Amino acid sequence: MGFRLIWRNVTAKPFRFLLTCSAVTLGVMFTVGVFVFTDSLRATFGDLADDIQGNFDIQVRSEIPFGERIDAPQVPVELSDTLAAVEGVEAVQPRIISFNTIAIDGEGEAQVTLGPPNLGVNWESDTPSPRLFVREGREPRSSTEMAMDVDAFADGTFEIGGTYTVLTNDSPRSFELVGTFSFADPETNALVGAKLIAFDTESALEILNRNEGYDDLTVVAAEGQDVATLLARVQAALPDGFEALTSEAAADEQAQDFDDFISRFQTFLLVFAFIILLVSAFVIYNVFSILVGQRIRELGLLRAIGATGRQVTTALLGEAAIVAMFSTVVGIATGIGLGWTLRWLLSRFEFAPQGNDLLLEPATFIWGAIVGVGVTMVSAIVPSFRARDISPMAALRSDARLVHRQPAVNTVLGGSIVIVSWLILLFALISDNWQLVLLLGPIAAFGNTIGSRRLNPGVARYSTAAFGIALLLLSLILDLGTGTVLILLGVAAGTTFLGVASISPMWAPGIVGALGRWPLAILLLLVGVPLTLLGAAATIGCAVLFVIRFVALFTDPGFAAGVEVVGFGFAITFALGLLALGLRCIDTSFILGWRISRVIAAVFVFLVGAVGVVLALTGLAGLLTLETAEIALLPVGVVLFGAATCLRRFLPTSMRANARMARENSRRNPDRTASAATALMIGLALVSTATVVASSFKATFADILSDSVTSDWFISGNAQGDPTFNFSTDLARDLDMLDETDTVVRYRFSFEAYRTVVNQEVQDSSATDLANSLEHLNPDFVELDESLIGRDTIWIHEGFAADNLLEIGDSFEIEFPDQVVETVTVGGIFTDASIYGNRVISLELWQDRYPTGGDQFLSVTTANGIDDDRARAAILAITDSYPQLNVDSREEFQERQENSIDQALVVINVLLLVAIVIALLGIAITLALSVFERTRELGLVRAVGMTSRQMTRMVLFEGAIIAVFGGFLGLILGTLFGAAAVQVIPDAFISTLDIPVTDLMQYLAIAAIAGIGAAMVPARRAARLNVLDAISHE
Amino acid sequence: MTDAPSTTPAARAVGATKIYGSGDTEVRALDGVDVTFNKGDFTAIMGPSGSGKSTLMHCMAGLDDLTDGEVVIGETALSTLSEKDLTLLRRDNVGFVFQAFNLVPTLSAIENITLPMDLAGTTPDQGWVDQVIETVGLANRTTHRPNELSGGQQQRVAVSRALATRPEIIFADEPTGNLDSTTGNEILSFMRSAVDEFGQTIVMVTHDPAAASYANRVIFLVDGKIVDELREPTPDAVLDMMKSLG
Ligand SMILES: Nc1ncnc2c1ncn2[C@@H]1O[C@H](COP(=O)(O)OP(=O)(O)OP(=O)(O)O)[C@@H](O)[C@H]1O
Ligand SMILES: [Mg+2]
Repeated sequence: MGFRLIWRNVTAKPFRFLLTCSAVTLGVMFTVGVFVFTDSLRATFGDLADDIQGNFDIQVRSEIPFGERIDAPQVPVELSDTLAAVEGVEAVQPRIISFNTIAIDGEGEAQVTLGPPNLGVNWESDTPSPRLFVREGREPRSSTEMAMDVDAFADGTFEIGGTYTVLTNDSPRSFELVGTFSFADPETNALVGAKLIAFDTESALEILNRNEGYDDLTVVAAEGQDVATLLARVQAALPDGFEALTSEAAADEQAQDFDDFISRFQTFLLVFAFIILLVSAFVIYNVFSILVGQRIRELGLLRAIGATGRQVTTALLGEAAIVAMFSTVVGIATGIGLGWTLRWLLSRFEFAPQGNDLLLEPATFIWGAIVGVGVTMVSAIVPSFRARDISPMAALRSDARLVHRQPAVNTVLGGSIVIVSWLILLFALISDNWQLVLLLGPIAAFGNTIGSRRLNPGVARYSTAAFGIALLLLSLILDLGTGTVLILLGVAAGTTFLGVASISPMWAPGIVGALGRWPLAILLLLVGVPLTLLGAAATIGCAVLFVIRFVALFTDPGFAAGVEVVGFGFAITFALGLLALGLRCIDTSFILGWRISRVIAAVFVFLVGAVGVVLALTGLAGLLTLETAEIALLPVGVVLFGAATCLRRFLPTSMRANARMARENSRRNPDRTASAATALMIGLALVSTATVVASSFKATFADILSDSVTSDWFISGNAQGDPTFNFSTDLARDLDMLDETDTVVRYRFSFEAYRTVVNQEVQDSSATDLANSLEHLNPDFVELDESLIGRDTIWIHEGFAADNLLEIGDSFEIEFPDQVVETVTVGGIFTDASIYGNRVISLELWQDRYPTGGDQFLSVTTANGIDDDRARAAILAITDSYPQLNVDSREEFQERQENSIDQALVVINVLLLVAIVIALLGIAITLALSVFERTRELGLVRAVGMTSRQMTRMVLFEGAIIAVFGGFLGLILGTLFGAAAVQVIPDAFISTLDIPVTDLMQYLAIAAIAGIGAAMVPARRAARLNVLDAISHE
Repeated sequence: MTDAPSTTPAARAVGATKIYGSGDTEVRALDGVDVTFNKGDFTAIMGPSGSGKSTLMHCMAGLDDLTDGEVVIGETALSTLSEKDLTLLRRDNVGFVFQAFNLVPTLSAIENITLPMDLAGTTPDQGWVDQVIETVGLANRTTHRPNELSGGQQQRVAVSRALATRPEIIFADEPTGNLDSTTGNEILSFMRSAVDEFGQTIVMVTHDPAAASYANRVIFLVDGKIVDELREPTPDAVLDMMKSLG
C-alpha cells in the first residue's frame, strides 16, 4: 500500500502521533541513558585502574584462594630485600593501602566521602616512577607527618603546617600536615572522588597495617630488562603463598573489579528500563488497537475498493514503523543527554569520579534501536494483524468491531506444546540455575499460553495467569537457591501481570461497576480535600517567598538571587497545579450527586470561609497593633476566604447520569479500559511489592530489636553493610573502661570469611565476643553449651547444622584466606538467622586471621543503676573523637534502620515513577482517543443540556475509574508478590511479613489523583467541543 | 390569526440572520427571518435543500448563535445568555429531535428519556414520564439499549425525551427522514397527539407534504427567507404550494 497513505495517516493527527511516540521515547531514553552513563563510568574507572596499577612492571602479593583482596594477608617486610636482590630488578616499592583513614579538619569535621573510599597509603619514595606528586609543601618524612591529596585538602578546613587527628582502625593519632599532592599526574589530581592521606612508609606500616607487613610490592625492571624473564625470576624467588603478575594483568584485574561493580549497577538500572519498556509496550499496544478500532470503517473501505488484507496490515505496520523510528531517534538523543546529566550529577555530588568523558559505544545505539523499534513493532503486530480480518462490509456498518481470531482447536498439538513447556520449566528448576530460569521460564510461560489456546480457547484466557500463579507457588514450595528463587518469582510476576492483563477485560465491567460508584467518589473526596489544602498552603507559601525574594532582588541583585526568584515562580505554578488538581478531585467526587456530599461540601466550604474570615480579622488586628507575627495571617485569611468563595461555584448538583455514563463508557469497551489500566497496574504492582518488602524489612528489624536484642546502645557508621567499613578497636576498649557501661560487644562480618574444608564452600560469617554477646543478643538457641565458649567456638544456625550433620560438641575445619586451617567446635545451635547470619565465630580467632581489621559495629549495655542520660553523655564523651560514627539508643537505632530502608524505597519508587508516568500518559491517550471517538455522542448530550462542567467531570471520573481499576489490580498483585518475596528472601534478611495497609491505600488514592490528572487534557477537549460540529461529526 | 389555538408566543425570531463565511464565499443561510411560534401550535417548516431550515432550528434552539437579529424562547432573549445559561435553557426549556443519532448508546431507553432531568439533578415527574412512555408505546422496552431498538423506536425514545421535561418548545429536524412511511406516520401522530393532548408546542422540519399535513401550520423557507405560509394544510395544498414555489 502506498507510502503516501501511511504518511498522511501519521501526519493528519500530529498531536496524537507525538503522544504515541512519547511512550516509546521515554523507554528508549532511559535505556540509552543507562548505557551512556555506565559506559562513561566504566571508562573513567578504567583509566583509574591504569593509574593505580600502571607505574611498575611486576606486582608481588600474597596468594588468596578465595575472599576479598582487601582481606588478604600482608607481604612480609623482608620479602622486599629478597626481591631487590633478584637480577634485573631496578627498584622494589612496598605499598600499603588501607580503607577508613579519615582526617578530622580544623573545624572538627570528619572528612568522610559519600561513596568513594577514604584511603590511607604510604609515600612511595623507592620507585623511579612515582604515583604521588608533591604540589605544595613536601612529602611526609617522619612518624609525625602526613600529606593529603589537593582535593581533600581543599574540601576541608586545612592548613599546611597545622596538626590534625587522623582516624584509622588503629588508635586515633595527630599528624602535622606537611604537604599536598596530586595522584597519577603532576598537574591534575586523577584521584576520582576518593580522599587520600599519605604517611611515610614506616609509619604507614605501623598505623595502617599494625606492622603485619606490606599490602604488596611493586617491582620496576632495570633498563633493558625483559619483563617476562624477570617475572619468571621473581616467581622463582618467591616463597609459597605469594604470587607475581605483570602490571597489565594487575590493571586488568583492577578494572575487572570496578567493572563488576558497575555492571551490577547497570543491571539494576536496566531492570527498571525493562519495566519501563514493558509498560510502554502496553501503551503502544492499546493505542494501536484503538486506532485500528476507530478506523475500522475506513479500513473496510480500503478492502472494499480492492486492498488485500495483507496490504491493510502492511499499512498499519508502516505507521508503527514511522512511530518506531521517530521515537527511537528522539529517545537516543535524549538518552545521551540523560546519561550525561546523570554522570555529571554523580560526580557533582562526589559519588563518583570527576570526568566529562561522554562515551558513546556502538552498542548503545544498537540497543536503543532494538528496544525502540522492537517494542513498537511487537506491540503493533497484534492489532495490525487483527486488521487483516476486517471485512469490506465493515465500511457499510456503523457498529463493526474487531474480532479476536482463535486458532483451531488441536488437542494433540496443543497438549504437546503445553507438556513440552512444563518439561522446559522442570528442567530449569532442577538445574537450580538462575540464568536458566531467567531464560527458560518466560519461554515455558509463552509455550504454555500458545499450547493452551489450541487446547481450549475458553480456558486459554486463564492459562497465562494460572501459569504465573503456579510459578509463584513453586517458588514458595521448592527448596531452591535464593538467587534462583528470586528470579523465579520475577518470572512469575511478569507472567501473572500479562495473564491478568488478558483476563482483566472480563473483570473490568464488574470491578468498574462496583468501584465507579460511591467508593471512588469517597476516595476522590478524601484525596481532594488534603490535596486542595496542601496546594493552597503551598501556593501561599511560595507566593510569599516569591514576593520576599523578588523585593530583595532590588536591594541585592545577583545571578543566584535571580535564579531563586525564577525558581519560586515555578514553584508557584506547581503549587497552583496541585491546588487545581485537588479542586478537580473534589469536584469530580460530587459526580454521584448525593445529598450528603452536597452537605459535606457546603459545610466544608463554609468552614474554609469562616476560618478565612477569622484569620483575616486576626491579621487585621495584628496590623493595627503592629504585631508582626500576626500580620502574615491577613493574606492567608483573605486567600482562604477567596478560595471558599470560588469553591462555592463547585457546589455540586446531582449527576447520577454523568457517573453512570462515565462508568458505562469504561465498561463499554472493556478491552480498552483494561489495557489502559494494565500499564498502571504493572507500575503500581511493583511499587506495592517494594513497599511490602521494605515494610517487612522494617518489621523484621523491629522484631529483632524487641525480641532478641537486649543491649542499650549501638555504635555504627553511616555505611552499614559495607564490609570495608571499620573503625579503631580502641573505641570498644575505652567504652568498656567507663563506669557507666557494663559490657561492650564488638562485631565483624564478611561475606567470604572462610571456607569449610570438607566441601570447599566459601561461607559468610560473623565474629563477636561470644561470652559477652549473650547479654546483648539472643539468636534463639536450640542448644547452647556455655562451657564450650572459647577461641575455637562456633555457633551455627540449625539449618547449617542439619545440612552438615553437626551437633553440639562436634568439630570441623575451616580455612581462612591466609590459608591457615583452624578447627572449630560447635558450642551452640540457634534458630534465628537474622542476627548473625548462619555462623558466628569468636573474635579472638577472627583477629588472629584478620590481624589488620578494625571493628565494624559495637553494642553496649548500660551499667546497673545508671540512667540513660548519664550513660549517653559518658559514651558521647568518648565517641566525640570519632565523628564518623553514630551513637544510638534502641529507639534511635530502629529509626536509623527504618530511615535507610525508606531511602532505598524512595530510590526504587523514583525509578518506577518513570514507568508510572508512561502508564498515565497511556491513560491520557486512551481517553483522548475515546473522547474523539465519541464526539457525536458528547455533542448530543451537550445539546440536550449537559453543561461543559458536567462534561469535564464525566471525563475526569472516567480517568479516575481507569486509574483506580489499574491501581486496585496492581495493589492486589503487588501485595501478593511482596508477600511471596518476603517468604523466599532468607530469614537472615527478612523474616516478618508486614503489609502496610495505609501506605497501600495511599497508593490507590494517588492513583485516583493521577487518573484525574491524566484525564484533564482530554476532559478539557471534551468540554470545549462545539456542540453543532460535534453532532455532525462523522 | 383568530383561528390559531392560542396567541401566546412560545418562541419567536426577529430579523434572524445567519451568515456563514465572508466575501466571495459568503452564504446567507438565514436572511432576516421574522417568525413566531405560538403555544400549542404544531408548525412544519419546508423548503428546498440548503434553504436554511436546519440553521433556523439550531439557532432557535440555542445550539448556534445568530449573526444578527434575536431569538426569544418564552420570555428569554437568547443573545443575553451565557454559554452555560444557554445549556441550561436547552436542558430545561427546549426539546430537540435530530434526524438520527439521538440517543446515548450506553444508556437504556428510560435513562435516555430522563437524561435532561438527571443532568439537572431533578427528580423526573414519574406520572408524566409513564404517561409519555405509554403514549409512544414503549412501555415494555424501557430497559433496552438503543442498539436493541429499531430506528422507529429510537426516534420515539428521542421524542419522549424531548417531551419528558415539558419544554416550552420542541424542535425536530426531519425526525421521520430516516424512517419508512408507516413508522414515520406513527411518530407524526404521536407528535400530533402531544400537541392536542398536552398542549405541547412543536416545530418540525420536513420534506414530505404528507408529514407536513400533520401540522396546523406550514412555513415555506427559500434562500433563508420566509416566502409563504399555509394554515391547516392538506397534503395536496402543500404540494401545490411547493410546485408554485418551484
Ligand atoms: N457550518 C457551515 N458553514 C458554512 N456554510 C454552512 C454551514 N452550515 C450550513 N451552511 C450553509 O447554509 C445554508 C443553509 O443550510 P441548512 O443546513 O440550514 O439547509 P437546510 O435547509 O437544512 O437543507 P437540507 O434540507 O438539505 O437539510 C446552506 O447553503 C449551507 O451550505
Ligand atoms: Mg437540514
